[in-house]
Amino acid sequence: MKISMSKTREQFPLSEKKIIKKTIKVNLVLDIIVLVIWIIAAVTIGFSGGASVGVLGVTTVAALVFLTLFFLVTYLYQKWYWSVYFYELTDDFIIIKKHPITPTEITIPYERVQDVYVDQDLLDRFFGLYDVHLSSATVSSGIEAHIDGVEKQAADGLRKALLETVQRRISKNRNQNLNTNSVN
Amino acid sequence: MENNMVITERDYPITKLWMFKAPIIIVLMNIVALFFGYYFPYLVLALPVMLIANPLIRNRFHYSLEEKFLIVRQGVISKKQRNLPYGVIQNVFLKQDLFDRIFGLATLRIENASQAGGARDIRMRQAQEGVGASGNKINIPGLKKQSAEELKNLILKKIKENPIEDSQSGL
Repeated sequence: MKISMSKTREQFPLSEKKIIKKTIKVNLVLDIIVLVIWIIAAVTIGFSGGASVGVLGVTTVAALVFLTLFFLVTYLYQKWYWSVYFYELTDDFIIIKKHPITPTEITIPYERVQDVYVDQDLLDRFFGLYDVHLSSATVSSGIEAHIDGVEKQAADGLRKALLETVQRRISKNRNQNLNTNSVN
Repeated sequence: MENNMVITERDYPITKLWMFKAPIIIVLMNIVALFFGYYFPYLVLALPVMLIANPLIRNRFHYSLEEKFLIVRQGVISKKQRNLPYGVIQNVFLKQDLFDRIFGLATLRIENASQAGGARDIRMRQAQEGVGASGNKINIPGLKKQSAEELKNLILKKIKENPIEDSQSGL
């Protein structure tokens, strides 16, 4: 599968652990629900004298097959998702593009970044992953503009690069800085 | 394209196919629902309304990339004109839903931090997906993928050329 690379993604790579993490995240809830239903069914059948144990056995196998297939499909989808995930910090804009089937692409000028923050949810802590969020003053940027699933070094690097560029672009000596930058 | 020409909806139009997007989806939904012995009567009623309204909406929607402002004029019965300074654009959004992906269309959305441009619409969240200015957004749906990319790049160029200086308003 072709990976949509950019200079930024080469420098601050998206962790491959993200694929596993997202697959588990999608599957975990379903697996727990199926397990609970199975336990209830087993207990009910146990109380009713074990008349329909055969049915339970067949259903268990069917459920396991379904769960495995679902796991595989989500894994492949997440792998695809991971491959097409595109982010680049260009000279003037931040571009983030994702979703393999229904692509969305957001472009934010550095001057408009209101906020940069890094967070982890429970599974992220387990895998040692970080989400780097940035947002402009709009709601949709808060929803769309984040780089999910980078490891510590890349997260710190991204945060630092973003903050430095934003700082340089919004400072009072903006034009001067831009000029010196272009000389370099 | 010449540099000093003002880009308008004539250069990057909403495709004719866009007018039939919602009707096609409604028809498909009903066909699927019919397999389950059901249909959506209200959506079927909306069908002729859409077939009349969509061409009018498309026809009355104009935008132009003037030197300092992105100007949007729209409205069939009640008219609205929106003037957006390039400097205050917060983010530019390019997206494709499933229908768009299949037919090679794309929606371009330009957002700033204002809510007043659509104060009346804020309660009606669905209005945000409409055509033209509502809320803090300007939606240009049904563009060809290629023209959406080009239009996006033109707007990004305008943002770059018109930075905010001292004032926060951009005016």
